[in-house]
Amino acid sequence: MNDPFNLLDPEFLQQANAMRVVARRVAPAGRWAEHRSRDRGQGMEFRDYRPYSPGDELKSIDWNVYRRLGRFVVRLFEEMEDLPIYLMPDLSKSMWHDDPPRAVTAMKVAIAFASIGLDQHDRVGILPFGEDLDSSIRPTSGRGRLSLIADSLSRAAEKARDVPSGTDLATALSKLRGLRMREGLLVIISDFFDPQGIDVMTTELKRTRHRPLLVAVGRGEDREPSLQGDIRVRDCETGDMQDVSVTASVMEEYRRAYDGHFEKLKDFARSRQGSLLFLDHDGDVMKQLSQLFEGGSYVA
Amino acid sequence: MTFAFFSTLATLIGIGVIALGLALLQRLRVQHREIEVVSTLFWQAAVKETRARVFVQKFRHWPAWLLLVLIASLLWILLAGPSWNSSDQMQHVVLLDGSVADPTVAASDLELATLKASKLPLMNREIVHAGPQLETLLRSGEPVQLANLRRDAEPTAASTGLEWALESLATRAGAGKPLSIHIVGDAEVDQRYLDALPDEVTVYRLDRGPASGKPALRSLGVSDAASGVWQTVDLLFAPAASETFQLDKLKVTIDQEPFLGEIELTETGDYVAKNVPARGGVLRLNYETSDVGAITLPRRDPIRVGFEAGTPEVLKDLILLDPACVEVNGQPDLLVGESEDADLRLLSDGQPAFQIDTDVEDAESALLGLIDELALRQIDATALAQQSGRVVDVQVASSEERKISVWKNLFSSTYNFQQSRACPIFVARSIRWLANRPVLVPWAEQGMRLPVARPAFERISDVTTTAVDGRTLQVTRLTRPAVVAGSVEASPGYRFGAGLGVAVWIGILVVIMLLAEWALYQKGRLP
Repeated sequence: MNDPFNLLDPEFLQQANAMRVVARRVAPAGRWAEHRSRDRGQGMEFRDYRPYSPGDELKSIDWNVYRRLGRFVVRLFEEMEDLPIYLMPDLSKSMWHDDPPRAVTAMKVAIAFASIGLDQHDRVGILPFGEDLDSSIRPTSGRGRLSLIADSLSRAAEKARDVPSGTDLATALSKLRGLRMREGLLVIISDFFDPQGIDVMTTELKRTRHRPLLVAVGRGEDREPSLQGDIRVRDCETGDMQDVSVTASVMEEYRRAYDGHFEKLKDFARSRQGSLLFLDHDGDVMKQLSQLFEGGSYVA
Repeated sequence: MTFAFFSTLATLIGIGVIALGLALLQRLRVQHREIEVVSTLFWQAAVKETRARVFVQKFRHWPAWLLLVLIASLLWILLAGPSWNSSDQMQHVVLLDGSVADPTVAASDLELATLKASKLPLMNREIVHAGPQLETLLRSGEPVQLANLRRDAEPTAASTGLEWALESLATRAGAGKPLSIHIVGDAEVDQRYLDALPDEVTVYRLDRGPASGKPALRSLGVSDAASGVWQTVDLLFAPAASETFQLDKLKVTIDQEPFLGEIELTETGDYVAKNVPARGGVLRLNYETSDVGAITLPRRDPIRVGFEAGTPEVLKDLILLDPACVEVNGQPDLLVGESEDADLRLLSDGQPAFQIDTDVEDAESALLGLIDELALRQIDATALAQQSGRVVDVQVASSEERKISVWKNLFSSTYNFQQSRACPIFVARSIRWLANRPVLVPWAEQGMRLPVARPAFERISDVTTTAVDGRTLQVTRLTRPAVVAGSVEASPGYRFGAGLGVAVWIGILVVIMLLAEWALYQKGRLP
């Protein structure tokens, strides 16, 4: 199979499969998987009693309770359901600016989560985005589907690399909402350099039902650019020019703007019981991801 | 602080222009380097920048501007040639004696003058060359190297003495202005002139340094040979230190050939070499291994005289008695006779007694000199007039060639002129004048100007000069500089470094500020 971005590195996947995503809660009407559902149904583990109502199966009545108390109660068992994981790697032009490109790191993160999800029988959806959401890759489940996901992601990445686009996370999220997918874990892997600004992004993020996990792929250079003198910076996506005389005060303002940007993202993630992970593009991906999985599990 | 090249006002205006220019540059948009970045999101938030198409922008970077103005102003001040204000209001003039004929000595004098000037306050010193007129070689505030550039290597006629130069400098300085004049050279200064100078004018003479310790000549010259032999001269020289002078260490050469004649010590302590061949050779004196003097001997070739038929025997005998003259039959230097071609022409009594054709344009003004040169004054004209019953007069006219016409009867028994003392003198001098022999350069003495320096001349080589009349003359050269005549004080030392430090300090300050600017730039404190 063609794997131009080396996404199916066995060692990398082996390390990824040692981790687990634990759902804090799982939406009802899902598939059977390893996550506990709020639904009481056909599971193996007793969860609670409730009064009998017409329509309940007779085998679910606890006859011991009827003998002692003279009332019909039904035993409830915990249903084990899957946690949908929606992976949104950013494949916009800014993710291809560096060499090696940040998009590869984003894809590796996505594949790691996909591997974890598929391994624990979760449904995994790959939704690359740039100026728009690419929903052409159908969500899937099953441990053997990882190579299919990697192949689809690679093709989408090659297309995005050849025909680069800008970043519009708000539009992508809006489109995601329109897909009416079951509530799950939404992993957005991006540099979060949306020219529309942080406020537009967070506003749209708040509208999603999913639990957010934001993975910011960046470099130390992003916060501490080694630029001096009088320069004219040009945005690689929009082509916007900005004249800058780099002074200590300007650099201070720059860092303040940078920190403020990601502080707002972090605040949003916390407000939704999610997380924001800064992932250094120049560092080891798995080692940084493992920080997220304390004790081997990430509680979504 | 004062400035050598600009006035204080010009310097301040220059600083203002620099500050204004830098301010305008600050307002001009800089040329930015274009760099592609992942996002301009945070740059836009960080910078309040006007758009690139705007020509000017708001004034920024005050500290940077001030630092630049400071550095540029210091450089401007450096260019203006600053110096500390000297509390000493004394004006110093280094006066260079322009009469030095030897280029080696002249160059040494100029070097000495510039060295002295460099030790004097920058704004209060100058170098003046006393040639035919006063020529300023170095003005106040100028670097001393300029003096070397301005000094004309070609010597010009120099006036005798430096009294006129001192008087001129004192007058130029003005009354009440303290003035120090430092003489470089050996020119004489009459003590009476020094006494007459204003009290605020002090005259020094620069000491050329200690003598090398080897004896040198005090004087050197030639004179007509006492033996009367026309083709020889007597050489006279006097050692500077006769008590240590040893004659056996002296070697005399003529055109590099040893002179084998005898050298005698005179009663006055001088030395005489008699009957030195006067063939125009260069006579050199070497004491041990040092060249202590040289003189070009006169060229005394015999004057070839031709006589026409009818020339009085008395005149012929008088001429041939002169050791300088020999009789020839063809191609004579001088012709004596009655024809118009004769140089010494014999006329009948009806003509003027003495008619002189001179090659000087202004014949009348030359008359007085000719009367002395030809010893006409010694002729008893009254007796001659009485004997001849005619007016005895002297007429002078300008002509291309020299010629003397006299009565033929002067050399006959008609008159008693041939028996007078004046007759042989007149004849001998007439022959020499007609032959136009070069002037003998007879003598050189330490502290005295060379005789040939009196007329205007231009130098051809270090020991040869060309007189204004075109004659090439060799000058006598003494290797040791002179000990001057006149009582002039030795030039005092002066505090070193005056006027030199400020430029150096400003330069150091500029370097420090440039380093500081670089450090601030590296730290991102400056744009």
